[in-house]
Amino acid sequence: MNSNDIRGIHMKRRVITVCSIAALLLMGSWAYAAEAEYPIGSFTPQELEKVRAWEKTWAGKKIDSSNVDQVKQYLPESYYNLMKDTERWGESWFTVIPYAYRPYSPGKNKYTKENINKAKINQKDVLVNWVSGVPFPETKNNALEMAWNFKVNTVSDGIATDERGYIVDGRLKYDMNVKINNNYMYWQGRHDTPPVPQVPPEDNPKRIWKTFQMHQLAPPETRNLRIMEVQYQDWEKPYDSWFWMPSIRRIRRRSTTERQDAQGGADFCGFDNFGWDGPVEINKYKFLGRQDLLMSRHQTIETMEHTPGDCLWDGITRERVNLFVVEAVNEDPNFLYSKMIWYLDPEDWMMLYSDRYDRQGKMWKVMDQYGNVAEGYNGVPVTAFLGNMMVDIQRKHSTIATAQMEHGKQYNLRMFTLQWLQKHGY
Amino acid sequence: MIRRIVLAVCMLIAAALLLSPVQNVEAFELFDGKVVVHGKITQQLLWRARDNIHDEVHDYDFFNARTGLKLEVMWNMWEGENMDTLKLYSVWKNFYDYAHEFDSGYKSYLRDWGGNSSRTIEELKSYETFRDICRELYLEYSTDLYQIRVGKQIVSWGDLGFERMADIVNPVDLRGMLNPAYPDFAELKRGLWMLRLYLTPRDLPMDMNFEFLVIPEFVPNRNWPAGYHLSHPPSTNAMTYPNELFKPDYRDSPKTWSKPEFGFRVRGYWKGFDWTLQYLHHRDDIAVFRTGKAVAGQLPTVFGGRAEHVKDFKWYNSFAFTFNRPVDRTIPIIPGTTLTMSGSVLSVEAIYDLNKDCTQLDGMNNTIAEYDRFAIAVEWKTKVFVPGLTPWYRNEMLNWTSQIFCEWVSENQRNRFIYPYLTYRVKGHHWCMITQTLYYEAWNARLIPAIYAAYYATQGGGYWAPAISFKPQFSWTFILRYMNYFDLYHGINDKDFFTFEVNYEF
Repeated sequence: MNSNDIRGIHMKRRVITVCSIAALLLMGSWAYAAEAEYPIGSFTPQELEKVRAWEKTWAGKKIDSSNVDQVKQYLPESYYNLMKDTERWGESWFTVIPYAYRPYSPGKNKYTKENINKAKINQKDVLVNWVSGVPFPETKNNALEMAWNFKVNTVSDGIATDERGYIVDGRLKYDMNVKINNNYMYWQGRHDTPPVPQVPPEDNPKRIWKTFQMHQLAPPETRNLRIMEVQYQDWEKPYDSWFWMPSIRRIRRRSTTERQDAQGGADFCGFDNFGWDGPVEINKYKFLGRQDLLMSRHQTIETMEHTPGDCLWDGITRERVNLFVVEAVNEDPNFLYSKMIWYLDPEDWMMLYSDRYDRQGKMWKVMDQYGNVAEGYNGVPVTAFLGNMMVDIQRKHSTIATAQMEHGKQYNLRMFTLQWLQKHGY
Repeated sequence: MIRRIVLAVCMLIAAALLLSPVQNVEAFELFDGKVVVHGKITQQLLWRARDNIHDEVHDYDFFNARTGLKLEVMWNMWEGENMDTLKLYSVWKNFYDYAHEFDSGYKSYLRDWGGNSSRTIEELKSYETFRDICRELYLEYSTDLYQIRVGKQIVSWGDLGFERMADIVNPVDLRGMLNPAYPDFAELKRGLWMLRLYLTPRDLPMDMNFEFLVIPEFVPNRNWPAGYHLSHPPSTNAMTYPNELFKPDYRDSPKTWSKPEFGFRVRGYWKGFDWTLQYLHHRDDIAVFRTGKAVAGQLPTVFGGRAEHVKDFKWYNSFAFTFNRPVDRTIPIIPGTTLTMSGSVLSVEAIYDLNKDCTQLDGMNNTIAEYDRFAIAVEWKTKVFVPGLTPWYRNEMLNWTSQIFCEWVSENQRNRFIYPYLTYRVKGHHWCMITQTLYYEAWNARLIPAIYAAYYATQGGGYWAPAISFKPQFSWTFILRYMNYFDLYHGINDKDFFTFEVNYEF
């Protein structure tokens, strides 16, 4: 071995060393980038280890009234009471599944990162300077920021649903069936479905934020009833809403207060869509802490079971998740809810569960929503939900539903106009 | 009397039982859902609340016992790109009214006023013609820019529920009106063959869109025949053939399509206001006597025979304007309390009829006089938070709709017959009515108590009609109503009645 060889070996070692350092740096930066990916997981690695250990015992187990006490600490009190009081609500059950992460779509991740620290909340509790993505992805204890994170979740930008619901009278033990097709389009805060991040201003002169159209197919009394609702980027501007009523064959204006009315004898009203579909700033929010609870986040319709006359869904799959718990208080003495407790998914900010109180401060309704991970535009993953349940615990009544959803739907913008509503009447 | 009541109630129960196995049937879908058939079966019983009055020559209790069937068929024939569609839509309706079959007093009554024949019964018991049975039948082609509808159609212009103001395109058939307290105009209107075009261009100021109508067919209003409970004032007792009062209208209505009616409507949205502006050049749906023909037109009511070529349906122009706007604020009814209104919608309709005609009697002769008419209706629809009740009943608010309707004519004289409304006011130039609707959705909208009331402010009197509807299941509705007339004309005040109704929809 001559000196050149030795130099060559040294050179090779240096190159290897430099490359190794570079590789480590790259790996480090990748690792850093991975940490910065959103959403931030529900559990820290240490917490997740404990969850996994717990799951070794419980994953795959069917929980009913006989063993619900063993998982009581992981259920909201109202839900535990529904399961335990079988005399009033009948027997119901769910299955425990392992926790799994709920990803952001690439677009949601991109806009969340690009716009971090840009959005603010003004003195009227209204979100400003928001374009797209989660406005406050790293919020930890600010309830108002959490409420806005929830509010501006645009799911998959455009959603067409085919919904089947049962309005259940738990006392007389019978169902009334409902069929609805809904169309939702978000005009701002879009992630993956073109145009992103918003419909160009020239195509959106009214500065619309969200449009909604409902087409009722059953019951026959309201067959072909259509509702259209427009919400504006000016959050304080009242919603506009119209409905086409087949019985009078006219388009009629709908007032904002009508959104408080339960729809067609159901337990949901306009404000309950997606958990809360009202202005954020009409409530006062308080962060109540985090709670590790069993919630449905990877649900399929196939496992859901309904027995006619039974107010509660069976066959729900639930996993542990460390939720943000927020109290929303409404001081308007005429508003239907005096208080709501929102259980928000820390990963995608969806409302998975809620307790609602009447104006006298008594618990009135319990809402449970069943999340899933679906495919959006171009097959990107989107988190949504495909079913829910609103139980009127005072009246022993509920409305339960499933929804087949087409995500990332691109709509003709003309669909959300009065002309369209008029032309689809008869 | 008791026997008749028992019989009627038994028939209703039987009808309900017959239908009950068909629990929660949905609309029929055929050919992969391209054809959808949706329908309604109705059973109605109208039962007078007071016994016969002294000037009635027959005693009867029931004046409607009707089984009706309505079918609505939508055929989605073709669907192209960009939401282009071709559809065929039709509505078919008929009924059988058998009140005369189990109330012999009513049968005698109708026969008497039909000139001792069954002609009045024939008019009331069912629709007999294709024109009446086929309520709508049209082909619709829609694109992004326009929509065209050709065929027999019912057009609903205007916004108001209680008063028919701007909604003037179709005539009505009162034989379909079994709820005069709150008429369902969609059930009353007679379809007309017409061409209807919507133009919906993009990006116009105020989102304007346009609707054009060309209506070659003319059909007059159709009244209840003489002898029907609500259309028989005591004065007709002097007539041998009172139904001849109405018949000339049907005989003399134009049958050709040579001179069509036409109109248009513009609709827009501006600063929270929905507005429409409309124009219609049309014939009056109510006839006037041709000059010098009033006597000839009425003699057959006394002596028999057939009056023809005595009536005319005159042309005039109508201009109407409507708007509505939500009022998104809570308004106290009693300040300092929670008795408040919220979620209110203000609606206004105004119409100006130019060069309308009416019959003017000049001694034994008659002429045709011309007048202009202006009418306006203002509606306030709101939800009332009732302290005690609303919070106790899970925030269910009371639904409240108030409406005031006022009408003026340019001139009126004692000998002019201006219809509607001013007919009954000698020399009056104006007429005013206040209406009120209240209803409350209890038990998840399965039990709905309601009240409809009208007060004729100009003349005094009116009616109030409480009702309760019960929906044990979707598809089924049971309704009990009471109609109470007060301080109106002799002969109508005592015609109060109950309605019992069962509807099944699929």
